Amino acid sequence: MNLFNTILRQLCGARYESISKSLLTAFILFLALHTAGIRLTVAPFILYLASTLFSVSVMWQILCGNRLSEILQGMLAVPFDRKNLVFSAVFALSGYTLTTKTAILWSIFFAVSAWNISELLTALLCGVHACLVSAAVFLLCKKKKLFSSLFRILCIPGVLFLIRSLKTVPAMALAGSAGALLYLSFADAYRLYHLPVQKKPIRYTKAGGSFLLYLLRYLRRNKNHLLNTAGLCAAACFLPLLFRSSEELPLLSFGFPMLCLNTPLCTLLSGSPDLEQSIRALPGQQKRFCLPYCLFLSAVNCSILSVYLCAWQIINGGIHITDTGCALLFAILNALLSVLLEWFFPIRNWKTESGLWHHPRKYIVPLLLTALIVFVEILKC
Amino acid sequence: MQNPSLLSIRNMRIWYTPDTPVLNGFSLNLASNEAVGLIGLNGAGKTTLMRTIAGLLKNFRQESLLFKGSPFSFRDKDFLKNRYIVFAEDRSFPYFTFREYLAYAAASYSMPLPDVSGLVEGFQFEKYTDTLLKELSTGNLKKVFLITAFALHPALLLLDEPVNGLDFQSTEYLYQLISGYRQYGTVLFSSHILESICLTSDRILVLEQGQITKSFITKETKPDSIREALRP
Repeated sequence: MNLFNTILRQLCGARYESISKSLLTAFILFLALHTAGIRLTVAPFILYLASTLFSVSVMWQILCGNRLSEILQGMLAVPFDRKNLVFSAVFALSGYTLTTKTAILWSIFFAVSAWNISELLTALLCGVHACLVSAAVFLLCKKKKLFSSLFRILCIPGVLFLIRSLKTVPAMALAGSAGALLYLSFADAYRLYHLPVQKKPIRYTKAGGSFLLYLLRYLRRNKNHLLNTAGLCAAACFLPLLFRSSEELPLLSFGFPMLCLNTPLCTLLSGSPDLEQSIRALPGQQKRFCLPYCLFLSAVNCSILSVYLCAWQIINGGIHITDTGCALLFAILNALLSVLLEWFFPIRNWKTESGLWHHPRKYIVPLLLTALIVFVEILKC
Repeated sequence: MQNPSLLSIRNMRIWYTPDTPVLNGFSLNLASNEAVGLIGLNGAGKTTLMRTIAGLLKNFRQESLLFKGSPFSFRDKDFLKNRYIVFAEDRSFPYFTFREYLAYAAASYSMPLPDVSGLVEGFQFEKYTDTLLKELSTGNLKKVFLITAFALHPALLLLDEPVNGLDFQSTEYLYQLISGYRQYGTVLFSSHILESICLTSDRILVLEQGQITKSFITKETKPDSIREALRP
C-alpha cells in the first residue's frame, strides 16, 4: 500500500468510510434543499471566498492538530522518501478536507443558488488551491516564525484581493497551486511533525479541586477555544447589522441558538476519552461534573448573548426586559441540552480534531432551539 | 481462617461484539483484605475485566454478582464509593494539579482531604504536586493516580498494570504499598511481571481463554514453579 493510501485510511477509516458518509450527506443535503425550493442569489465571489476560507481553516486545523503527528510518527521512524512523504501527506489531507468538509458547503451553495459548470470548476479549484497553499505556508511558517504572524495578518485581505476580480480567479488559483507544489517539492517532511511546545510549568498552589476552576483553565489555556469564543462575540456584534434589513420578521431571537454554537466547549468529554473514562469511574459525577459544566456553559453563553443584546440595542434599539429574560433562558437551555448530549451521547471514534468540531451532532441543540423559537412565534401569531 | 467474601462474580460473559466474547464463563471470588495478582497474555482480557468491574462497560451478563454478600450492580452508588481504579494509561484531568485532582476525587468519594505527605515522599513526587497534570511525564502522571488510590483507602482497589512507567524506586515503594494494603481492603492488580505479583500478592490468578484457568497461593509456591506452570 502506498503512503497516500496509508495516511488517507488513518484519517478516513479502513474503508474510507468518512468519505462515503460525507459525500452521501452532501448529496442528501443537496437534494433536500433543492427539492424544498429554497433559492438565494449568491454571487460567485461569495462562493469562491467561502470555498477558500473554509478549506484553509479546516486544513490549518488538521495541520496544527495532534492527529497528524500521531500518523506521521511511525512513518518518520523508518527510512522514507522525503518528497513522497510530503506529497502523500498533503494530498491525503487535502482529499480529506475537500471530500469530508468542503463538499458539504458546496452542496448547500449549489442547492440554493443558480450556477454553471465554470463556477463549479472554479470553486473546486479554489478549494484545492486553499489546501495546497495552506500546507505550503504551514511548512514555511515552521521554518520562519516571523512569516507565521505576517501570514496571519495578510492571509484574509490577500484572499479577498485575489477574488475581487472574478475572471482572474482560476488563473490566480492555478498559479498559487503551482507555486505551492513547487515549494512542497523542496520542503522537509519533518516539519509536518510537531512536538508539543515545552513551556516552563506554571505552579498553582491553591488546591481547591473545583471543577468550575478546571473549566475556566480549560478555556483560558486553549487558544483555539478562546478564539472560537471571541469569534462568537464578533458574530454577536455583526448579526444585528445583518438582521436589521428584515423588519417584518422578529429575527432577534433567531440569533440566540446561532450564538450558542460553541463547539469546543460543548465537546469536553467527546474531545478527551481519558477524561470521560475517569469521570465515569468516579462516583457522584452528576453533581460534581454535570452541574459545574452546565453553569460554565450557561455563563459563557450569557456573556456572548449580552454582547449580542447590547449590539442590537445600539444598532437597532427596542430591546425589552423580556428579550433579556429570553436570552438568559436560551443560554441555560442550550447549556443544559449540551451537557445532556455530552453525558449520554458523547461523540466517539473521531479521527481528527476537525472531525470532532464538524460532527453533525453539534447542530442538534441549535436546531431544537430554533424549532422552539418557531413554535413560540407561531403561538404568538 | 478465610476472610469473608468481598466480591463474588459467577459465570460472567463480557463482549465487545456478541459473537466473540472476551471473557466467557468467568468466575472470581475476592476475600476481604487480600492482595490478588492477575496475570495473562496480551489480549487475555485483564483490562476488560478491570473496566467492567469499574462500571465502564455495559456489554456483560452474569449468573450472580455479590458485594459483601449482597447482590449489586457495578454502577450502584454504594459500590462506586467502595472502589477506585487506576487505569494502565490515563491522561485525564489535564488542567488540574495533583493536589486539585486529589481534592476533587476525595470530594467525589465524600471524604475529607486525606494527608498524602507520606505517599508523596515515598513516590518522590514533592516537586510536582502543584504542576498541571498535562505537563507531567507518563511516570509522574501514573504516580498521581496511584497516590490518590492509596490515599482514598477504598474497600476494593483495582490497579491495571500499575508498574508501567514507574522508575525503580517508585516500583519498590509500590510493592510495599500493595503488600500493606490488606489493612485497608482488597487489591486486585494486573501485571505482566511475575516477580512483582509474587512479591506482593496472596494469590495469583491466571486469565486464559476468557476464564481463570489456574490459581496459586503465593506462600506455598515459588515463582519458578509458577513460571513453569504458565508455560504452554
